[in-house]
Amino acid sequence: MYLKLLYRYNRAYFFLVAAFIICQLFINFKRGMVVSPFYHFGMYSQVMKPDVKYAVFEIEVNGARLQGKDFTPWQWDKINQPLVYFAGIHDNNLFFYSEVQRITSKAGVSMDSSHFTMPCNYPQFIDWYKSYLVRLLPGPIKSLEIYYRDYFYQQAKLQPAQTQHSLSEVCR
Amino acid sequence: MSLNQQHRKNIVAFYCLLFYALMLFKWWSGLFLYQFRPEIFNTRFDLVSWFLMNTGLHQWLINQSLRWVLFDVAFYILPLFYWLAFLKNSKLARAVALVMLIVNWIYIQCYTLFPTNSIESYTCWLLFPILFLTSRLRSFFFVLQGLRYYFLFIFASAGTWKIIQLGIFNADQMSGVLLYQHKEFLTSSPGYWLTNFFYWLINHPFWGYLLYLAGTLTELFFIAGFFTKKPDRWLISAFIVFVVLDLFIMRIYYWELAPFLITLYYSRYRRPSANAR
Repeated sequence: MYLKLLYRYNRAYFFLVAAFIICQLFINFKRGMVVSPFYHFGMYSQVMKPDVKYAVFEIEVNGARLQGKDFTPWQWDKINQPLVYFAGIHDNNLFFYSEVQRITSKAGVSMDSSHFTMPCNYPQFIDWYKSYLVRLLPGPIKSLEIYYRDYFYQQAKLQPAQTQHSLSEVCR
Repeated sequence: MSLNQQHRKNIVAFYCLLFYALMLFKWWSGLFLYQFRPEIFNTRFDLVSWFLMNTGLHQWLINQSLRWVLFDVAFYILPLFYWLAFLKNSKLARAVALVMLIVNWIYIQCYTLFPTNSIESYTCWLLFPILFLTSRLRSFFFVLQGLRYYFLFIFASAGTWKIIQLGIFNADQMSGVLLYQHKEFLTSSPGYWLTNFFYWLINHPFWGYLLYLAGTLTELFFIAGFFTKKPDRWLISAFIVFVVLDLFIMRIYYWELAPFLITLYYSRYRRPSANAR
């Protein structure tokens, strides 16, 4: 009905909207890559069973671990997301060579790797993260340690593994 | 009743009101670009983002406090300019809307490359300026309807994906989702009432699955909007309940999509007549 009325009102608008719908459906059927503003809205739609093991960030400030309960959801996201990004630098850089370059080169477009990749500079990151984190905390930061530890889902809880790794080991 | 100029004015006012209410909230929560002080970015699987990234614009923002402020100011001031222009001169208003469209695209694309939030939740700011580009009331009506369908599609496709990707057929789905989503929260806050509640849901998959099913059915309910406008008031309520529960159970915030509710609220008004300006 809407499309019919639009067609009668203005052909150009109709073809624009029809093209929009086709692009959105194409992106949905094809899966994988998106083209803004055509996105997949399939959050948590793939099958997810409880895993045996989860890798978890642990942030220790002044000797005590930061606790999610002390922060709003968006503050907790602000605390954790940069760590996810830092730990993912290696994958991000690989993604450029395996996907971005492969796809764009098919279209004859050359992408500059320096705009897509980052070095794993841990000292620089941790300096920045400290100055970033301090604005979310009530007091100064005297010491900051970030670890990456496996947790096992056993006996109805996440149980920590004995060994933990420094964040610097995650991105090398 | 047909959509008229007063409705149009109300829609613009409503949009600006929501935009600035959300702006105040984001400023209070430290979610402006200058408060994030981005240093690190991530490449998403989005062709448009790649072309923007290839200009190096996102790197131009790294470690540059003055540029963050410039970006924030440009993004947050334009709806006010648009409102003022809309009251004075429609041609000027359209020019401001065009600038707003371009600025919103650049800002949102850059903002979401940094560790902030996913770009999908900002589609409202990407698409709404198109509504403000229209001059004729009838064009405004058709774009408003188009935005309504897009909003319906967001939820309808989210529900449909859960069927296609089989998540809805997995009895342990919510347990898996909650463990993945809250692993840092669960391990950092043992004994806390919310931790205990999450663990209870994880360890009682039936109740967790019921929540997942309820969420999926709510999303699928939006399909009805493609065929009739009668349930639009119910869809507004469904969206609000969905957003509140998503915040509580998933600790994900989707309120940036709220201005799309305007399209549902004004859907009862009919197409303006051919001679309406």
